[in-house]
Amino acid sequence: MAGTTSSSRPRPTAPHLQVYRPTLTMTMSIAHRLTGIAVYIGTIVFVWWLIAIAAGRDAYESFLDALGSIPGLIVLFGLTWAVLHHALGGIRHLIWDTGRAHTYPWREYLARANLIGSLALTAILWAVCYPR
Amino acid sequence: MRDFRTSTALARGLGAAGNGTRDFWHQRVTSVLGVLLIAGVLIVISTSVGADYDEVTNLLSNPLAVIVLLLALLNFCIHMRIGMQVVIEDYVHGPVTKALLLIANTGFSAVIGVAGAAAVLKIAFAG
Ligand code: HEM
Repeated sequence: MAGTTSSSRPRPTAPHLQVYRPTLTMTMSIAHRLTGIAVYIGTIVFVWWLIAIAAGRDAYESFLDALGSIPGLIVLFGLTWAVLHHALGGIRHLIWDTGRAHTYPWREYLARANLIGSLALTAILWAVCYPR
Repeated sequence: MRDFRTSTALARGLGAAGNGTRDFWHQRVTSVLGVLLIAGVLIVISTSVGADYDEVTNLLSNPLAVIVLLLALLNFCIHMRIGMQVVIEDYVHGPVTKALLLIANTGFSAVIGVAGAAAVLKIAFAG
C-alpha cells in the first residue's frame, strides 16, 4: 500500500494544462466557465437596472447615462455575448447529459455551433435594439 | 479497486458533502428552465431599449413581464450559487478561505435574487 514503505521517489503528478495542444473543445470548456463567471458578476447590472426603475425617474436617467456611455456600451455588449454564449453552452451540456454528441464529429460541430450561434445572436439582438 | 465507504454511507448515498446529488440535479433543472427564462428576460430588456420612464414602468407592470422576471431571479439565484460554488471548490483549498467564499457566494446570490424581486414588485405594485 502507498505510504507504508518510505521512499525518496517523488509522488506522481498529473500533467499540467500547458502540455496539451489547445483545441476548440478545450477552449469552449474554458469559455463556458468564464462566461458563467462574467454573467454572475453581470447580474449586478441587471439588478441595478431594476432598482433604478423602482427608485424613480432620476435614478433611471442616471442608469441610462452610465450604460449609454462608451464603457457602459462595451460592458453591455460583452454581457450580451457572455450570457448567450453561456446559455448555448448550457444547452450543449444538457445534450451531453443525455449521452449524446461526446465523440467526433458531433462534439466539434456542437462547439462550432455554440461559438457561431452566440456571435450571430448577439449581432442580431444589437442590430434590432441599437438603432432605438 | 476496493471501496472504502461503509455500507451505511453507501445506503444513504449522500457522499462527502452530505447532500448527495442534490446540487447536480438542481443545476440541471435550473439550466433547462433557464433557457426559457433567459429568452423571456432578453425579450423584456430588448423591449425596454429606447423607452422613456413611463413606458418602462408600464412595461414592467405587465403581469407576464413580472412573472418572467420573478421566476428568472429565483431560477438564476439558485443556478449561479451552485455554479460559483463548483468554481470555488475547484480552485480554493484553504478551509477557512473556502468556507468564507462559499458563504459570500450564498449571500451574494441571495441579495441579487431578493433585491431584484423587491424592485420588480415595487415597480409593479407601487408604480
Ligand atoms: C439559459 C441560461 C443558462 C443555462 C442553460 C446554463 C447552463 C449551465 C450548466 C449546464 C452549467 C454546468 C456546467 C458544468 O457542469 O460544467 C452551468 C454552470 C454555471 N452557470 Fe449557467 N446557465 C445559464 C445561465 C446562467 C446565468 C444567468 C448565470 C449567472 C447569473 C450562470 C452562472 C453559471 C456559473 C457561475 C456556472 C459555473 C461555471 C463552471 O462550473 O464552469 N448561468 N450553467
